[in-house]
Amino acid sequence: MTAATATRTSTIAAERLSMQFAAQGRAGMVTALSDVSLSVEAGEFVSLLGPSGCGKSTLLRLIGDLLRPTAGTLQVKGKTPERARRDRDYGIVFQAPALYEWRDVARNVQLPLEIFGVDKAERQRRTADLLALMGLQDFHHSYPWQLSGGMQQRVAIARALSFRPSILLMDEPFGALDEMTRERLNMELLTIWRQTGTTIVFVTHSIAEAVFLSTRVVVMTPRPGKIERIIPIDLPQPRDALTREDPQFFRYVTEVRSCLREEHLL
Amino acid sequence: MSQTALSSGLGAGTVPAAKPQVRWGAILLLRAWPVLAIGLLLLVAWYGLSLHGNWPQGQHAAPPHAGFWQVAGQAMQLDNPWVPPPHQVVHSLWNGLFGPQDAPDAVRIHLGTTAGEAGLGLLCGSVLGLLIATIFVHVRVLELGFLPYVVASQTVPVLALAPILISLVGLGLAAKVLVATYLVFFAVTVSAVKGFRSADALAHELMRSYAANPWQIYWKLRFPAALPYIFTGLKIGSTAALVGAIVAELVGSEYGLGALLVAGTNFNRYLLLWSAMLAASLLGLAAYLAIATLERLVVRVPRTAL
Repeated sequence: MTAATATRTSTIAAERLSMQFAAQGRAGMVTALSDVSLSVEAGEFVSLLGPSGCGKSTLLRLIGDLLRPTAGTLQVKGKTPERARRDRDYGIVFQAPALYEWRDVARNVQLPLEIFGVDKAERQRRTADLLALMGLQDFHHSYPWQLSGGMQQRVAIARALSFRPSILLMDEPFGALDEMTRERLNMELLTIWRQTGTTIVFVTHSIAEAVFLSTRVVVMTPRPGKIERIIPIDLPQPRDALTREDPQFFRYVTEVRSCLREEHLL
Repeated sequence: MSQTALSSGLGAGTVPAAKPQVRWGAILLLRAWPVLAIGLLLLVAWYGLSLHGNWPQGQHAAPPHAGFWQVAGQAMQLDNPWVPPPHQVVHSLWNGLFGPQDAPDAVRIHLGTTAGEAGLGLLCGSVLGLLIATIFVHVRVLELGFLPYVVASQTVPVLALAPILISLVGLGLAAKVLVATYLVFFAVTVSAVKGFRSADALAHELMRSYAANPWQIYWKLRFPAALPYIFTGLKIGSTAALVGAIVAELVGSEYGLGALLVAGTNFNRYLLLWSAMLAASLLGLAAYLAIATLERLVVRVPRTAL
């Protein structure tokens, strides 16, 4: 298979990516990511899993053109990441909701639409749809500081979905939430993924979350950050609360666990 | 939260929704009574000083048979008291504001002059300050080059600057507005620069992911994030503008509260002096409250976040 066919089929095609940062407080460079190759197909749900410092967030930021790699090539939908960013292919959700506190919920969701010049009627229509989807229909005019952490993160997801990006990049979006809220939002995210057909790259350090959500789990290891193994998760779709009780689910969790243990990360 | 302690204490925005029931009785009891008590104490002290200052002495000394209350009553109603008691100052100010139209020393006329100068100075200084701050956050090299001079500009005492500016542009309105502007722009520049930089990295990365242009980043992120800081600058600026205008008037002017203060000093018209001072402080208070009210209408950030 040639490179040309690979870029035509892969939504994200990373080849031998490396990323070095100037080290904080001492001379020399820190290698955050070393020689990482990964391809993600359209409509996939791929999780990047690993302990702190394994470069999973760095990889996500490289894909989203928030960082530039020091070596390697990266193509997104056959384009450079910068081109893809300028074409507004990415919706990004960070660990912190990063809502603009001077905007109410509805106007936070509309922020990207305002920037893209979407007219007001369409903005309001999409906001109403998304807030209904997120169960926030009664909170259009609430301010971020009036919402719980889980609600704030749902607003952030609605904002990322508002302009219907083809790729959703999520950097530990539920990391700061309690277990129950996290599991509920996991289900909502899967529903959205099924309905929209968006390609999702999802950074997490929760094994169960990665297995439950993903079609593939990319296990990463630190110092230097690299991909240890890619584990396909063939749990039946659509997944629901019962999936978490499925013996197959536990087998996958165990497989990911043993992979991490072999690397002395557990 | 991205906001820091800069705005704390100077009053922040309101809480627009989820407003708790205001129990004025409780607020009065808990918050207002110390203020009222101290105010009352200060008033009593003022009367005491006034009584002491205006007590007849020497050849005017009260006859020995005169009772205390009789002498005190007269001391509180002198035509030109050395230390005017509060009620006389208020009465004099009231007359100056709402009394005869044609009196040349009516406080009303001079208050209007000073308010106009300070208002124009506040406007010019704010626009200039916002402009400079905007340039600074976008062109780093200009900030590095100019910031030391902006800071140095404030080491020139305003009392030294005023005569120079008057010698350059004359005794008219321009000199007063320039001095007020000079004091305002610095306060606004410093707080606006801090405000324009207050949004965190994630907020900027969002804008980057939307491929927003600098204009959009400015109006949808930097500027709204800076508003609480800018209002802090404006509050400081509003009183600074008044100081600037009055100082310029003191140096040379026919009209304005500064001119009244000079006249009051030169001709020993103590009531005029004190009522001009009271008018100036009321003007400053009004300007501050106007800006604080505007802030409450504009800034939608909870108090706790600031």
